[in-house]
Amino acid sequence: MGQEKLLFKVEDVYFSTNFKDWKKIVLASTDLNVWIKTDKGWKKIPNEHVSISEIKDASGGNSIMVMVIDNTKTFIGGKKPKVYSLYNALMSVLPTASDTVGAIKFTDAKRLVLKALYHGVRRPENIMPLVKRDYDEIVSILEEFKREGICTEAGILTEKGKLIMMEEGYK
Amino acid sequence: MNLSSFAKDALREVGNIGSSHSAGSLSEILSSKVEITPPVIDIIAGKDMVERVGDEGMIVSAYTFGDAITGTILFFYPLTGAQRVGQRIGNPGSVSELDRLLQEVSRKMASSFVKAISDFFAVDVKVSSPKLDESKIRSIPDLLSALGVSENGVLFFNTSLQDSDVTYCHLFFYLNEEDIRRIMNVELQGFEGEPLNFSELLGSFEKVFEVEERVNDFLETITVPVAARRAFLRSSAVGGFAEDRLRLLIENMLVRAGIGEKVSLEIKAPLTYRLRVEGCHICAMVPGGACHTTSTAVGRFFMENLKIGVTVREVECRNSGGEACVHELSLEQIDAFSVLPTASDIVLLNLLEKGPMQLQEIVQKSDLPKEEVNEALKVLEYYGIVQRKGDEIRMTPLGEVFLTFARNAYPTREEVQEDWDDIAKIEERIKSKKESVPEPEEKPPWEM
Repeated sequence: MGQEKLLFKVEDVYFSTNFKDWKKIVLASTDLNVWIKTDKGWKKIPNEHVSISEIKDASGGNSIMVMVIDNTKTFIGGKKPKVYSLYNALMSVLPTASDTVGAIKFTDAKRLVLKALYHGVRRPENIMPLVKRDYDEIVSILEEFKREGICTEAGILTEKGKLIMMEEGYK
Repeated sequence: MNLSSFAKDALREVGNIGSSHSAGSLSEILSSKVEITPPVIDIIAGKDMVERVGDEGMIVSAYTFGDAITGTILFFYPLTGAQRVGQRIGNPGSVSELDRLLQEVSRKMASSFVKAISDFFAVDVKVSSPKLDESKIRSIPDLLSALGVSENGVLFFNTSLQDSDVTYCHLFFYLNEEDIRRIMNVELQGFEGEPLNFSELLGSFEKVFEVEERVNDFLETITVPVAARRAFLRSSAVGGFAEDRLRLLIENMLVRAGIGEKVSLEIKAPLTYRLRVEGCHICAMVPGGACHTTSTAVGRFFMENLKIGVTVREVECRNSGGEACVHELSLEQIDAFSVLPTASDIVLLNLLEKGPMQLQEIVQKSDLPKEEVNEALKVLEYYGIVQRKGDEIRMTPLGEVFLTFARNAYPTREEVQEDWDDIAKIEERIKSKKESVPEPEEKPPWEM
């Protein structure tokens, strides 16, 4: 077996398993493993046990990458360019879930349904051709919006729903 | 010694590779955990080294290695660390016995260190004990002088091997300047057998990071007016896309950010575009990797700057034998539709809501110039909102939903900057922003 080869290393990113307790770490990627260094030293995770799920923007010019290690969600956060660099580099190294091979999505169905409601399109069968998503998925999102007080039973956006539209810049 | 930070990184990586193997070797000898402290890369002269390791009760071992790469490794055992090692491996009865055992431990650690380097660079490196006149060595500066280290010092890699309550030894390692430069050009095997040299391996991620940072600067600085987003979508349908200002901005921005030599955006189908990157720098920087940096750059631009969701898929890459790197962009229809309609579209759709009509009738009833009607219908047909059947024009089921959507579209007020797509001015704004805003203090965690 050949020598393990370091591909890249990134410092000053933060690691959490619960989105609350963030620890400053160093993350290194080799052709065999992902290495994470915390104050307790280095931890090695074989590449085949790690997959990248998604990347999300957070406030203050930060981003958070969701990394799945042995079926457990973990979060790596830091400055946006750094986390995107890490995400892009890891995508070149780690195995990817089959439905995301080669494709990177900058969208999500909830945002699209919210936008349809904002523009007065409320029935799932009308929302469907606009957002090009499955009927069942749209119905489930609408149910969630009703539960969370984002829209009424009739699909009219509440003040909370409108606020989300404005704050998130969905408009 | 005039070495770049890049060369320091090279020394750091070589030191990391070697010292982790030395620690592994010590751990095996002691049958217990051995940790490595974060390495320090610094120019150290004799007197500085005394400050770092102390000058009392120290047992020292020195090894040199040579052939393809030459350098020196020094192990300094503080008394407590030396005694702990001694207790674990043989309980020596005298200081000279302890010294002999530690020299043996050091030789094993030095061999592991050198073997790791030898394997990594796939070159022959042999370890040996330097021939020194021990009668002349009474202090650490004497030792360094005997090893040929000048009074001004050399660039050392320094770490300590320890357990939770004791430091077993301090490890110092150096290469001469010429050797550092040489190892940066030693060829390594990259992914898929692509050869690359050590400095390229170290630098590739840094270079991608620089591109990411430039992309980020552009995304944070560019503001695209709604009218420009609308023109982009409409020119895709009726022609004039080649001169579209937003299209040209995307292409220029990606070139200026360092993505590739030439970037062109082409229409593939309604709401589907192809971004072609010739002379792609990204896959050249990440061995064996795909161009995710390009995908995320263009994806983020659509989502963050144009408010249009998008899925980006690389369909061709130079790394996989393609002529260029090609990314396919699929835009979210609802996002595109929220900027697409003009007042004329809504007038026409209001008429067609009542039933199919012929062009002449639409022109008469809409009270709009024929050219304007023709152009609007062409856009609406392209996006599947109306369809022609013979001379008749009718609204599609998608058109009916689109009309509700378009009628409820709230006009967006915005301050339009005439030079929104002037890349030179955008770069000037980035520069002045960087000069005027101090680096924010880094403090985690952030608030969601």
